[in-house]
Order: sequence, then structure tokens, then C-alpha cells
Amino acid sequence: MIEDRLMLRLFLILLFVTSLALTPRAQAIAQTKTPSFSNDQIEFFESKIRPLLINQCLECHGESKSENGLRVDSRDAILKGGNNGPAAVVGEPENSLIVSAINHTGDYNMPPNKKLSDDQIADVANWVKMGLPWATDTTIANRSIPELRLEHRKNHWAFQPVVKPPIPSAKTSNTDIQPIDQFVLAKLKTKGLTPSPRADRRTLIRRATFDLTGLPPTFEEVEAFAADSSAGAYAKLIDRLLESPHYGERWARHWLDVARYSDTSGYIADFANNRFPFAFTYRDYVIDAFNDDLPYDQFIRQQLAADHMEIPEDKKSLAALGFITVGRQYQSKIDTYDDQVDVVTRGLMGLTVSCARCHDHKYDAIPTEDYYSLYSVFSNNHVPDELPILGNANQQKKYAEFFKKLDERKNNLEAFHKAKLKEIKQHIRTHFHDYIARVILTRPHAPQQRKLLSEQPFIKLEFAGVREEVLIKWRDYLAFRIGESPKFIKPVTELMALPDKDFAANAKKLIDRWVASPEESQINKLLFERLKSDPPSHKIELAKTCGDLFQEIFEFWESKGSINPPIAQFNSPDQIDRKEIADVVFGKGSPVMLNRRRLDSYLNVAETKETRKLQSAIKAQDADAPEGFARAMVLEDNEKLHEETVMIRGNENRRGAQVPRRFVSLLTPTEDRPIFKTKSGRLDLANHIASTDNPLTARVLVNRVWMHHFSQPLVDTPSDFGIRCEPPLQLQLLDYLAADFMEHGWSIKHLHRRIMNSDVYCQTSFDRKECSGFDPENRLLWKMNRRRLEFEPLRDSILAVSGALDRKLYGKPIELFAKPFTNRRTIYGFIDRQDLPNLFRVFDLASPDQSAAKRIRTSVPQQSLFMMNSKFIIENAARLTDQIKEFDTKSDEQRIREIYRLILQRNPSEDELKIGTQFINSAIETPESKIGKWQRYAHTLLLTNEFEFID
Amino acid sequence: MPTPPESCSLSRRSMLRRCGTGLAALGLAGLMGDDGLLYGNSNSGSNENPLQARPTHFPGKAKRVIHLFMNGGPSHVDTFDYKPELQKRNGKTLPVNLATERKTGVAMASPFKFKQYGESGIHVSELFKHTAQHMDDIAVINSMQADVPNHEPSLLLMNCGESRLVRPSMGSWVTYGMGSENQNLPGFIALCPDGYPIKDTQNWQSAFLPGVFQGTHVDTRHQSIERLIENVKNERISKQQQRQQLDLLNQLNKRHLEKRGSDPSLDARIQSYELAYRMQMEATDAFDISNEPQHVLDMYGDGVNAKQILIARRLVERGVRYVQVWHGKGQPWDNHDDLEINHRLLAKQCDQAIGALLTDLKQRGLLDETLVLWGGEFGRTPVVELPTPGANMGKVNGRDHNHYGFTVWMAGGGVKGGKVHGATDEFGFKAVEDPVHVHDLHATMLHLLGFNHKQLTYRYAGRDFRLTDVHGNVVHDLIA
Repeated sequence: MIEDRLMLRLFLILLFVTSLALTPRAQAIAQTKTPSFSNDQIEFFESKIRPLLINQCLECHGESKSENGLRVDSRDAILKGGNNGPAAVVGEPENSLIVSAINHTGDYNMPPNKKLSDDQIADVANWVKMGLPWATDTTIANRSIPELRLEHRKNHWAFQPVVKPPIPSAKTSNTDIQPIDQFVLAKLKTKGLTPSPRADRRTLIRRATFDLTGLPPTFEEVEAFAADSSAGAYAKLIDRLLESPHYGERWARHWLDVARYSDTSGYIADFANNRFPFAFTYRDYVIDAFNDDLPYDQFIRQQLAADHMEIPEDKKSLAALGFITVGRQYQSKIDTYDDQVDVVTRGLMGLTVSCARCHDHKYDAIPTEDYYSLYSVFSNNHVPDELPILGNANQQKKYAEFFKKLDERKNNLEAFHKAKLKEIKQHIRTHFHDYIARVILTRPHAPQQRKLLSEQPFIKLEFAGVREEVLIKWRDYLAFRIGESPKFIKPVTELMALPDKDFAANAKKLIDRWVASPEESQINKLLFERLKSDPPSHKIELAKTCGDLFQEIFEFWESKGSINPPIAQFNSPDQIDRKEIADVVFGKGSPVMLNRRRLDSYLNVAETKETRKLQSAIKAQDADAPEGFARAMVLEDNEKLHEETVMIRGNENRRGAQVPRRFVSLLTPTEDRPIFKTKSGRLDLANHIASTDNPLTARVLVNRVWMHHFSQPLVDTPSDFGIRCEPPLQLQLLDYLAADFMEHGWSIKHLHRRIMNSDVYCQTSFDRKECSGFDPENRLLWKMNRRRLEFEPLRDSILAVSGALDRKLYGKPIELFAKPFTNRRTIYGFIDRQDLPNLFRVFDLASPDQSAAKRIRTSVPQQSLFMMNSKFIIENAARLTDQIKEFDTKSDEQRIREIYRLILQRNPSEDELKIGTQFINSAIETPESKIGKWQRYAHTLLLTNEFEFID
Repeated sequence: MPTPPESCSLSRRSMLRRCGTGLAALGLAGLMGDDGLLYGNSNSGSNENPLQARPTHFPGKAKRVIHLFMNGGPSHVDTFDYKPELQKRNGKTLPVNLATERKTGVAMASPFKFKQYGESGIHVSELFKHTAQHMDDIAVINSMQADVPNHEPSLLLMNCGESRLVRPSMGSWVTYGMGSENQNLPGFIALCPDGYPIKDTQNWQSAFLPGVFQGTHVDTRHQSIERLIENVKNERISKQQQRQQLDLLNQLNKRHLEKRGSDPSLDARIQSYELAYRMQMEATDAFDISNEPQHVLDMYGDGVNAKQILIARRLVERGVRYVQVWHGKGQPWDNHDDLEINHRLLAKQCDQAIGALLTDLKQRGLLDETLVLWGGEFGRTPVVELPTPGANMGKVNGRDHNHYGFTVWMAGGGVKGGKVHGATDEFGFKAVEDPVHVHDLHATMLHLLGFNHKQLTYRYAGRDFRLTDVHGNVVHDLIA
């Protein structure tokens, strides 16, 4: 009957399917066999259409999602169409939905977030006209990563080797025109635009000084430069600024955005000390690297693997490893390593490898295997308990007092652990019954079990006296031993497994069965004798038997003088039964054999807290180390290296294939990728990144440097050069600079000179309607971009003009807004990623939690409130006039002039003198006025756009 | 509320680019200027204020949010999830005992009396007898679920939709998506007396979203306005003197601008000072509850919680988009022991004011547009927590954390009143009927505000992020 019905159903289904297949439309589809296409047409499809479909359409109209019923991953699917009918009609672009959709002329606007370029739209229309040529493979959604990889390597601009492009020769009267200018002029010319004129000298020195040092020039410097009409004056200025130690401070801060620098590790529960007391050594290393013009490839290698390179006597290069270690320390190490993969791949190569953590990268051909290959490079390291001390060998002597205190605190921890080890070991060895019974009773916390236990004379520990951690260890250990102790643990476990109800009868039955069967010989004799002679009537009796045996074995060993290793005492043939139990008591991992290494997991909550407190005290001692004492935030390769396995969907409990440590396949031209050799592989990784063969590294760096000079990068997404990143308008310029940069030994100072000595850089920043109407974003670089000072140069400038700036370099971080206010540069401010001052976010400082590609720029009233009202600003405004000699004897106009020179590095105009005098003359004075009119005047000049902006 | 002119500049194009489908769908594209400038960079382009109010995906009932955060984890079986069976089994072993953070024992009956309230007849314990007067306006979700029984990840999950990694908080997402209605106040404010909750400022972080969307923390313990909001007052210069300064500033900036032709970013700074000047007054006023009539002050009651809940009303009234009210620093509701004493005390600190808030919002006609959310990061076990050495030694009168099932409630902003959604098992251990995960709660709240939670996205580091990540289902049953 049932079978009949099943047959009927199958028949009906078959009928239905057949009828479907016979509909006219289905027939039509069946007939649209892919016609043959010429090689040119296929090539057109491969180079223009296939990438477009993959990048722009498949996310919503592919295998995983088919919005509106439409898929465009095969020719048939496109012709079949979705809910609104066929997406294309062969040879008729004007009647094809796909064409009207991308033109935004029909019911649909696709892709939804932005229109394709005119060229792309024309390509699709052309393609439909050709009859939708398609390659032999029917669908494109299932393309394998290797296929995608080949395509990306072949087609994506950023993955092409860096080759110096030919320099266009623009016709110009300027004989020593820079290549940069040639590229820019060529582009401007195609659009019929002209560059802006050269800015005047006062503008140039202010622009260059802020750009390179983050500080304003002085009035005297401006005047001297304005008066210097010698030919090389400007180039000399750039050279002088590059030699300033403040150059390193300015550019280190840019790099610290990429390196997600912070002085704290993030959130730590229970104990408050989340400081990275020595993060500053990384910051100082970066300052030096820029000041010393450390070649960028070397800079990369040191940041990833300084410990695998030559280390100078003062060990200073080790501080470079902070690049990896100053990130947020997550509760789960997996997330910490992820952050390290991210900072290295996005920060150095503009490759978003972390996107491949849970699944293959959605856009770039980066499989999860590649992610875990790199992940493994970091997970095979650890941060040592004690960080290496920087400086020469005399540190120990120099900081004797500090070391004495440090040792004291270390000894406190050691003493505590030693005492605890002794106590807990003793406790375990004198309470066999207490723990074995609680393991056997399985739910010892239940009230009736607690009552039962309290009634047993052999139980010594009350509920409160039980060390929960020890109980867990016994339970786990004994469970783990089942397989290895078939003669002892296994029979006990079988008895344990019997239900409490009728235990006596069932236990007797089980024991009788053992007696009757040959299994008898399998059971440990000492145990079996006792079970036979006195079968347990309750589990608690079984517990006593086991406890007795454990204790007897242990006491036997003690009676022999506790000689180590204990098992050796049971090796003689007559001891064979005892040995079987001794294997359990003294086996590997037995609580009885607790040692220092395993102690941590035996400590209870209070003892763990105490341990943390003592460890914290050691760290705090480090944090309070005298100025000058420093350690490097290193990491070390693990002694034992392991290969990671892929975590399927990022789930650590679902493991996939094991992956060797090696470089990303996308950037390795050979199919057999070499496996990293130097321990965890950090140096190998660094070498792959810092290589002239790497198409990304130099391009990414050059783009970052350009961004800071022009406040706008050439490539809009400075940390993502993947396939969704379109080629920049100035691609050739980018490539030229990247090639030139590598040719010149990866010298960043060379790059600055190249850029800053160009005419493009020296243009005025004035708006020109004929250009801005056409190119409002100044993509073609027809002018310099006017910029507002970021928070760091703004605060530093205020200190500089008030005469208070402390120009000291390096050192421990300082709270910027604690009173009395520090006068040090902002880069030395303490950055707590767990409690980032609101002001930092208000002023758009980079979040120190992820590598930051660029800063967002907002203009909000909270910024103005800071400028108008903060005690810091008022304090500086108030002392500004102290710098003016014989202020009291000067005329108002003289005073105004001096104030202008200090704040704006120029003389005021007649008009400005008049406005200033008016302000002073009409200034209201009230009894509660706490600062005078001149200070209020100076304060106002600090608020001007002229002070806050660079032309 | 008057909306001042645009004051801030965040490149429209960069905004649109980052927003992916999100803001385009939001209709932000329609904001592009009529001046023919379709986009501009922050130097030369048009001039948007990231906090400018903007339309959502579709018109939402809720226009703003007050989140009353009972941090530490209030016990649902002692407040809004009435469990008669638990009362009967007091002291007995329950058939369910799920693993939580610590060891637990037998059933612990609620020491509090429950009563039915309103036409809906929803049971509420005596702890929230004032709040209970509004049950007909409240939707109780008794089937909430989080992922783990620990504070830190659960706080981050409740606030940011992700328990481990650094992600923007919901308040940041909402202000990013719809701006704020008052440009003289921050769009997202986190009120917390005495300091921070556990996880500090991460609870209201903007992460990769622009810093302007980060929650501004206000320590409501402080009395003086200067201490409430950073730099809101100049203590050394009088108002008239400051006005003179700004007049001088405007003269100088005007000349500076004239020389340079047009530049929206220069304009933005000029306006920003005027805005800041006004903000000093507005913010001072918003936080100054002494202007409230005595009967309102009486209605809210005494203490810092009453004060900050009243401030919350003043803020939403002025158009602040998202206000979080944290019960206190650390984790006040985390009663592992002495639950009866402590829960009584904590509820006493806030219940009257919460009731007053709902009355007050309703009277002012604000409740319909204000979504009020009450709850913690998880609930507590129906079974008693056993003592742990070093923690609650010697006391067996509290409850452990419980993420398997707990309660939050919502009111106003398009929420269906007099409604109980979902249920825990008969003891209150685990959500068994219509479970609502925190992601679902977020999706529902965004829906009430007018967002499709799948489309409110931001492109960062190569991909589009959203509050609900790859999760979240709107619970339509909760929507009126």
C-alpha cells in the first residue's frame, strides 16, 4: 500500500517535470545552445565582461543569492532571466533589461550603489550586440580560487609588477621640469586645464614646515626665506627641514595610525593594570627610523623580525617589534593574532587578508588557507614574561635601585607560588578519599550527597574545605585514564555507571558476572579481591575501597622514602598488582604529581587573584621604571612550532585542512610556494613584503606619503588595493614614484624631496572656478589642497607660539590633559585605547584599535568649544605675551604687531592693526575678568582660520 | 527644535563611497547640493554635517531612543518574568540546571511579591511597582537570549552586536544612519554616574565609524555643568567678553576668506564657532534640572538615578538621538549574593523615575516617537548560586548570570503595549518559546527607527559592516 502511494507520487512528479520541460519557453531555452564565437569575442568577454559581472553583479545575482530571481553567472541564466523576464535579448541591447538597468534608464538602477563608468556601460551594450559571447565554461560563479588568482594577477592594476612608466614630455618652457609635473601636466592637458601658479615664499615655507615637522616656522625663518632669492633656496629649505629631529616626530605619528599604536592593551578584568609600560620604545623607534631615513624595506623587516636580524649592542632595533605587539590584546588569542595579520597585510600591502578569516575572500583571490598560513606566522610566537632591556650592558648598574625593587616583587610571587605548591600538594596527598568519593558520586554538591558524605567517618573535608579545582583535576584525570587502565579504572567506571537505585543488587550481579567470566583475570587483583569479599552496597562504599587502595599505594611509596620516580618502586614482578594502581596514582598528569608548571590551574579564585595581584605589582614596577629605562616589546618564536589548521567559518572548534606557513598565493607567481623556514616565518614574511618584486608594498607606501603631503591620496583606499579598488587617475604617477622610490634604496626622505620639489606641490591653493566646476575634488591636481591642521600639529602649534613648547624628544607617555599641563609634543601623549579621551575622537584622531588607513575629517562645535574654553588654550594664550620684551612700554600697534609675528608669523596689515586697536579699546573689563584684554586678543588670533589652516 | 545650518564637513563622496548601499538607499544621495556640486572633498567640495538629521530607509515610528541599562544583569524571575512553578519548588533540585559562569544549586524562589497590572494583566514584581503602572504601554520580551554567561562579551553584544571584536555601538550606528535633531548637543549621550560600567567606553564606541558618532559620556554624579560636559563653559572669560572675541574672530576670518575665494571648509569653521557659542547655553540648559517644576522633580524622586533619567527626558526632548542611562559604574545589578537586599535597593533607586519618565513622555506627547528600552546584558539563574572561595563565601542567597533566557522590555516608538512576547521554561531558566536573540532585538529596534538592518552598512577595511553582522530577524509581533 505504502509502496503504491510512493510510486504514484513519483509518477506525478515525473509528469509535472516533463510537462514543464515541454513548455514553449523551456523549449526555447533548450535551443539556445551557445553559438561559437571568435577568439576576439571571447577575449573581449574575458577581459571586459567577465570581471565586470564578477565584481559588480554576482554578489546579488549569483550562486549564493539570486535577487529578483535573476542570476547572471551563465549565458543561459542571463537569457532565461528572472522575475521580470529575460535579462538580455541576443543582439538587441536596446531591448535588454541588463543594459537599461546599468544605464539607470529603466525600472532598475544597477548596481544599486553606484553607476558603472561610461566605458563599462558601452562594453556591456556592445557585448549584447555581439550576441553575448561566452567562454566554454558555462558558469562563472563557481570559478575556483586558482582561476580567479590567475585572472586577478593578469588584470588587476595593483597586482602588476611595478614598472617605471615612460615620462610624458609636456611642452613647457621649464627646462628642469620634474617627472611628477610631466605626469600631472599631461593629465591636465587632456582635460584642457592648466596648473595653478607657484605659491609665494611665505606660503611655501609655512606649508613645508608643517608638512615635515608639524610645527609652524618662526617669524624670523619666514622673513629670511622670503628674502632669500638664491636659486636653490627652496630645495635647501626642504633639506633643512628633513634634518630637523621634529621631522621624525611628525611622520612617526602618521605611521602610528597605521600601526594602531596605544599605551594600553585593552580591557583586563579583575586587575587594573592594562598598561603597555614600554610601548613608547616602539614609538621612539619609529621616530628614529624616520629621522635616520632607515630604508623602508629595512623598516619593514625590523618591525616583523628584528630578532632574526643583526641586533646592535644597545638592542634598539628590537623595539621595532612593537609593530606587532602594541595591538589590542583580546580575551581570545585568536582575535589578537587576527589583528596582527590585519596590521601587517593591510598596513604594509593594502591587502585585506583578514576578510578571509571565515570564508574565502569575497572579492580578492585569497582563500582561507592563505589567511591561516599567515595567522600561523603569528600564532607560533609568544610574548616572553620578561622583555629584553634596551641599552648597553651598564643598565643593571645604572638602575640598581630599580632592579632591587623589581627582584623583591618577583621574589614575592615566587615565594607565594612555592608555598601554595607545597600546601596544595600536601592537601592532595592527604585527602585521597575525599576526592575519589566526590568523583564517584558524580554530583557531590547535591544536598543529599552532601549529607551522605558528611556521615562517612573516612571523609575528612567538609563541603567548604574541598578545593574545587583539585576535584575537577581528579575527575578529568581519572576519566582520561580509562583507556590506559583497563584493569583498574575501567571496572570502577562500570560500577559507577550503575544507577543509584538497587545499586547493591546490580553491583553484586556485575561482580558475579566478572567472577564467572574469563574477564576476571583482566581486573586488578587487589581491587577484585575486595569487591568479591565485600561487594559494595552503595557507591560510597566503592569510593572507600578505591580511596583505601590509593592511599595504601601512596603510603607504601612514602614508606620507601618517597624516592623518585615513584613508579620505579613497583617494578619488581611481585609488585605487579600494586603497579597497576601505582600507574594511576603516580601517572603523568596525576594531581598527586602536581608541579610548579601546572600549579596555576590548581589555584582557587582567591589564590588566582593574589597571583594576578603579585604579577601586576611586577608590571607596575616596570611601569614606574625611571625615565630612561626601557624594554623592547618583543615577541619570540615558540620553541615548539605547530602548523595551524583552517578554522571553518572562523570557528575554532571546526577544523579544516592543515596549512603550512607561507606567503599569500595571490602574490606568489610560482604555484609551489616555498614554505617559510626561519622558525615562525616572520623573517620570510618580511622578505616577501619588503621585496622589489612585491607589486603592492612600494605603491602602498608612496600613496600614504602622497596623502600626507596633499591631504588626499592618489588611491582613495590607502589600505585596500584589492580588486574592488579601481586604478587611480594618476596610476602612472603612482607607479613612477613607486619605482623611483625603490631605485633610490627605499628612501622616504628621497620621496619627500621628489614630491616637495615638484611644481605640483608648490602650487597655490586658491580656488579657480574654471577648474573646480569641472574637477571639484581636485583629482587632476590643478591646485594645492588647503588643509586644516590635525589635532597634533594644532596643539603643538599653540605650545610653539606661546613659547612653552618643550622640544625634548622621546620618553614615557604623559597624560596630555592632566594638570599641570605638559608642554611636550602631542605624540608623547598617553593613549589609552580602553578609555580614549573624548577629545581625541572629537578631533578625529585615529582609533587605536585597528590599523587606520586615513583619518576622517569633521568640523564639529565640540572642537570649537575646546579652542574657546579649554584651560589648556587659555593658559597658553595667557602666557603668549610674556615673550614680548618690554610689553608695558610698547604702543598698542607695536604690541599687535608682535602678537601677529608670534602667532601668524607675519606683520599685520593696516586694516588688521585698526581692527585690533578697536578690539583693545572697546574691550569690556569686569571685576570678575580673570585674564586681560591682550590675552583675550591673543586667544582670538589662535582661533582664526589663518592659524588653523595651511594654504 | 531649531536646526542650525550645516556646520561640518565630511566629504559627501567619501561618505557615500563608504556607505555602500546603505546611505544610497537611505536617500542621502538626495542630499547632494543643488549647486551642481555632486561631490567634493573636504577641502573644496560641499559641506555636510555628519550629525545633520536625515531620512531613514522608510518612515519609522521611533525617532529617538532611551536605553535604560541595568548593568550587571537584573534577575528576570524577580522582576518581569513571573514563575509560579519556581515558587513551588523552592529549595528543590530542578530538572534543568544549565552551566552558567559559576556553580549553582537548588531552586531559589523569588523573595518578591508579584501582582497583575493594567488591562493586560501582566505580572510584575513589587520591585517595579511604578513601572508596572504602564504595562499597557510596554512590550515585555521574556525570551531574550545572549551567547555566554559573562559580563564583558554580553555587554559588547548588547551594545555593539559583537561580543569580542571592536565594533561600533548601536547608538553610533543610529546617529550615523539618521544624524541628530539638535546640532547644539552631541547626538549620542551615555549617562553614567561615578565613572564607567565594565568595559568602559567600549560600550559606546564608534570604532571605525567617524568619531563624531561616538557616545559622549557624562558623569551624572557631578553637579556643576562644567564638570558634566567638557569645555562647555569658560571659567575665566565672561559671556560678553567672549562675544567680543567672536566678533573680532568673524572680522578676521571674513577678510581671510575674501582673499581666498570660496572654501566650504573655511566657512564650516566660521559657523562652528557660532554653533559652539550657542551650544554653551543649550547644553547648560539641557543638563540643568533645577529649571523643572517641583511636581516634576517630585514625580521622578530623589537620587542620582532619578536625576539622570530626568536629564534623559530633557535630552530627547531637545532632539538628542540616542541616550543611554547606565544604572551605575561597574555592574550594580550583579547580585551573586544578598540578591533580595540588593535588588530591592537598586529597584528603589530607579523604579519611581522610570515610571515617571513614561508618564512624563506620554504627557508631553513624546512617547510615541521615543523608543524606551529597559534591560541588562543578561538575566540571572532561577537556581541559587553556590559559594565560591574568594567570592561570595558563606552566602547562599544570590543568583548567577543567565544568558539562556532573560527579560528586556520596550515602550513607545511604535511598540505594541500590554504585550508579553516569548517565554522561558516553567522555572525561568531558558527561553523556550519564540526566543529573541540580541541580534533580533537590534534588528527590531532598527526597524522601529525606520531602518532595514541589512542595509545600514559601512564599508571598512574591504567589506561592508552592519550592526547585526550576518544575523538578526525583525520580531514583528512586538510592533504595533
